[in-house]
Amino acid sequence: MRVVFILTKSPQNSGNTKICLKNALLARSQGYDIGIYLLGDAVFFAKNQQNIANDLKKLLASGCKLFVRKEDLVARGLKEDSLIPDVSVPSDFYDLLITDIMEKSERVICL
Amino acid sequence: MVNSILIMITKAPYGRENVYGGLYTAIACLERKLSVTVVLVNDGVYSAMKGQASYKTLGYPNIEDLFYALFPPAKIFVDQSSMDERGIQKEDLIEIVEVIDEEELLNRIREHGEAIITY
Amino acid sequence: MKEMSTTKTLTIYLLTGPYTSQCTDIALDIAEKALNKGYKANLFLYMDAVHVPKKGQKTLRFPKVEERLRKLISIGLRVKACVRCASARGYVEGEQDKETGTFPTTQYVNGASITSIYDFSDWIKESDKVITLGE
Repeated sequence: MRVVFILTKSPQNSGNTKICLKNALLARSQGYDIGIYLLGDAVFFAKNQQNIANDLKKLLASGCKLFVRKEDLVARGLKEDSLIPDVSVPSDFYDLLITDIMEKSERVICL
Repeated sequence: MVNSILIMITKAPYGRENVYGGLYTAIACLERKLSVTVVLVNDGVYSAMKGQASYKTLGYPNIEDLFYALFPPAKIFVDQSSMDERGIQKEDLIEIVEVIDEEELLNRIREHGEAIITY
Repeated sequence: MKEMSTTKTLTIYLLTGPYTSQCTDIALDIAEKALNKGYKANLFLYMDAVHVPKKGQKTLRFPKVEERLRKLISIGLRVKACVRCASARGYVEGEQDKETGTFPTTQYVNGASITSIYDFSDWIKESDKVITLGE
């Protein structure tokens, strides 16, 4: 089953960070296909060298895909080379998101 | 098309409108014959505490009563780790809730979360 | 607009008002992309999101939510606001219209209506996917 998370809040300010990270990792360990879309303040999840970076790297290593919205990175002065390696910054984030939720995923969790 | 809805409540009761939003939506969905599952995580676990008296002191409708209006047929689950973080025991909560761990939460999402609405 | 073989429906459920959260703009972005890709899109407004369709919004520096909403309505976005939330915030100006099920207001842009939460449940049932945005 494919499960997609859509995150819009910053990681340190949001209790939902834990829900997402724990559930995504557990789901992946049980064979779920996981995608995580980061937009708005949630693009800060993808920044390297913060205390949740290791959790994100674990997720990526387990096969989860992380997508970050470029426009939100640029707005916030977050450079792509400061992100965790292997996150994707697609050219049309919303196109990918809509196709994923409407055509591919079976569960969508917005946090 | 969607037949089941999972309402995930993450905020504390009374300080914000969110818990009301979740429970009123749950009631409306039951009325329209959707299968309804409510899951309380993070601060949402506070909303299932027993002995609430909001009308008396705040003039707000009592959220405890709203849970009883939902159950049955809706099922109400409370996340164990969120309870542990907040020092809440099962005895502190209304009787009609079931405490679950993250694996059971994932099962609820898989089985009942054709639409997942987060408050 | 791309033709879809069977038209799927996305319902967006918004909980925050205009300008206070980027989530409102994100909701409109997603609605626009969904409509442009040929999907049907619904926007149900709850809590402070019932302020989104209010007429007469004036901003100097920020994208104009009212203008965007009008444009999206013109390309097919269906917009409804919860009567309980709208009434609490002073938008409901009379009794429910028995035919349409909507509640009257002169304060909303054309194409946005005030209805009961049961309409949201009906939209959920008809949709292929539902997403929630807001605090």
